Amino acid sequence: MTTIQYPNILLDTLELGSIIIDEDFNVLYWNQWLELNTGISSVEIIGKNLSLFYPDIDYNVLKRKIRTSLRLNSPTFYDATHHNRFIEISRTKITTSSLKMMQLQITISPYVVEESLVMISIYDISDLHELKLSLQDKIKKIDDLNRELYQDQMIIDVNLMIVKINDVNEILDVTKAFINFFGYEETDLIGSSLSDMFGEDFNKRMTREPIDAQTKWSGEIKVHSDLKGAVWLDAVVTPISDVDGNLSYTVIFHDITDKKRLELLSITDPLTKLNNRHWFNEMYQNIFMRRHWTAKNSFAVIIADIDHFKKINDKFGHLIGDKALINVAQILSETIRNGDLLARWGGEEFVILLSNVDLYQALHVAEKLRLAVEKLNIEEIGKVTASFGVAVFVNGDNQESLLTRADNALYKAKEKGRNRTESLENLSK
Amino acid sequence: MVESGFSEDHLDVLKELMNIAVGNATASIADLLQTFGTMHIPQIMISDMVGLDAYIKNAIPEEKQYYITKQLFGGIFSGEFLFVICENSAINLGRHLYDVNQNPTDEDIHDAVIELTNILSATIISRLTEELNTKVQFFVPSTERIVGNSIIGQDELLNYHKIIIISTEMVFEDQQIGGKIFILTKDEMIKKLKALIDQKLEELYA
Amino acid sequence: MKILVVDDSKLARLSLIKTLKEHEPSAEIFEAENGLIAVELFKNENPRVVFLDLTMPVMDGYEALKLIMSIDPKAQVVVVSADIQTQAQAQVLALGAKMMVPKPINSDKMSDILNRLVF
Repeated sequence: MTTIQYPNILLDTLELGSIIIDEDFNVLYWNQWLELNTGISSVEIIGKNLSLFYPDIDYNVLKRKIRTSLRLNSPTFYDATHHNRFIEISRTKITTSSLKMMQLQITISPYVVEESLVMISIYDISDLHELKLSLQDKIKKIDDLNRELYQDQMIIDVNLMIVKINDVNEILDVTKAFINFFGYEETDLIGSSLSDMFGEDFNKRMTREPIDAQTKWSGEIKVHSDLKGAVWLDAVVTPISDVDGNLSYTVIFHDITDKKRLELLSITDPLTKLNNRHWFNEMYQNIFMRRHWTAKNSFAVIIADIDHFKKINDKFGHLIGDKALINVAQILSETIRNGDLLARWGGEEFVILLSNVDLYQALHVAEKLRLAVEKLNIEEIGKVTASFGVAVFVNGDNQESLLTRADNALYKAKEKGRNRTESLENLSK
Repeated sequence: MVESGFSEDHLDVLKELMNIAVGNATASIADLLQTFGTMHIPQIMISDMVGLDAYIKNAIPEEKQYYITKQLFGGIFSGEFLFVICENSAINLGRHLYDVNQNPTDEDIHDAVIELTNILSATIISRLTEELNTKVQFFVPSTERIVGNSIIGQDELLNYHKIIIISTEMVFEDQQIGGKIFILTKDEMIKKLKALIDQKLEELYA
Repeated sequence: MKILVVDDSKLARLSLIKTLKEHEPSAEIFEAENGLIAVELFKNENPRVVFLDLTMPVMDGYEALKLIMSIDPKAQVVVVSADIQTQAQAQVLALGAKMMVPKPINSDKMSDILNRLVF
């Protein structure tokens, strides 16, 4: 084995401080690293007591650590970054100033046990410590951000109804707000299909179309909730593509039942529950603007008026009269074809808009309605009848002209003795 | 057991050596820290990462705060030495070692925990390796304070390692200080440990 | 001369017997892995010395020590344990053990023990 001839040089190359010291803190060796970093030369300190140079060190603790190392014949380690644990060395790093003092890692190793000598090795771990501090700082910032994010998430979770679905319409995730709104259990929902909840029609309109088109979609839907009955939801379906290119969709629901209810109220006749004139006018306007109508493929307006309604009112009173209106409204709404539009025009008058009909078909519908009214047997009143005026759109008609013709046809029906259907147009034409 | 090549005999040896090592540690602590403590009979088991996680979680209640000191030791027999001490015990330990009546500073506590770990590892591991006729080198320990018992990173659970878990408990009743010790060694190291034990057995049968 | 060695660890027994043989090659040695077997063997063989571990399954060393001392109050029991707490030491000595020695027992310790026993 080679004996190291110049241990001083060796210790100086190791970039650490080395002290040899006895149990009573008398310094026997002080290497160059220490000379340079503390400004105390080995000549000055060797043979003297460490406490003369560093009176602040907690020597009871240091003694115990030295003793431990000697008794166990094993190194003991400690972190001397804390005040009074060991010698302090100031640091001159200019670019960062978080550490004014060197962070020291101390190892006390038994040197000559019989003479109670230990070697204290001092490692500068400031850079490591600095890194740790900056890491801790970053982690704290991330934690703060996460906390905020979490709070935001919580707010979203309990307030917004959001459902995440995959491209085959299976529910991947739901917010608490959604679960609470419908009164479901989360476990029941995850993995099931949205169409199971809302029906196939919903599925087709709401998700199939946007999913197939891979585009955003929004609209209003009416769905059934076990908890709330029929509810109106506004839905926005947004496709989201993950990093692997897999598509999923978030559906954000917004309960618009109240808004819908108000809307409905504004277009509903409170007595008959039919749509009101306001609503009809809108529909009527739409149909005029919508298409290019021809003689073969046209639309018609029917105005119906209950015969001798004033007499009914006079004879039975307004309440019974209202009942007649309700009954007639109901039978009309049951008798019209799917897609025809019916509204209360005012007083005892009703208006019906038939699309895609010619005069013949329009007269047929009107006649059917007349017969239905005739068949009615209203409590306390008995039989009532109504007269019908029919007008079919022809080129050049405007909204007013068509309605006027229907009105005139009604007048004609009244003239001809009531309980009949009339039109100003000639069928043979 | 067959996989690791560790037989009942090997476990028996390890257990007996640990008994000796732990007895030695108790005596050293009494001498160095003026504290009389007891140590439980070490438990030894062979497991994997998931088993280790479950074992630690079972041994350490999750609702407290802990100081955990980890120290690596190297040599033919190498591994990780873990000392887990709950906050209250650590404070009592700081108080005892720094001779303060009021609450010790966080720095005192850290230092005290490291000091105790130094003694525990040096006595237990040194004695164990001495009995196994080999040498050991200790590395700088590190202490951190954690809440709960998640000592093992969840990602680590995915790594399969065969692990020998040696665990024991240390109690200083008078000072109300208690801590748990885990000595862990894995995979290749187990083979080396087994070889050392085989040598020891040969020596005894000779 | 009959000597009984009681320890649940095979290694501990082996190692103790090995050192014992160095000093007493002619001894007839009996082994027991727990207190119960130890007490049975003690009854049947009446050994001159018992080396007794404390922590064992089935019946521990304290219990076995009590029973052995009740069978023969002059029995020479040497408690061998890693548990070298003063408390444990006081307890086994009160129960009648001749001495308590920490594990492991090397040759010097063994000769010291044997010197202090009566043969």
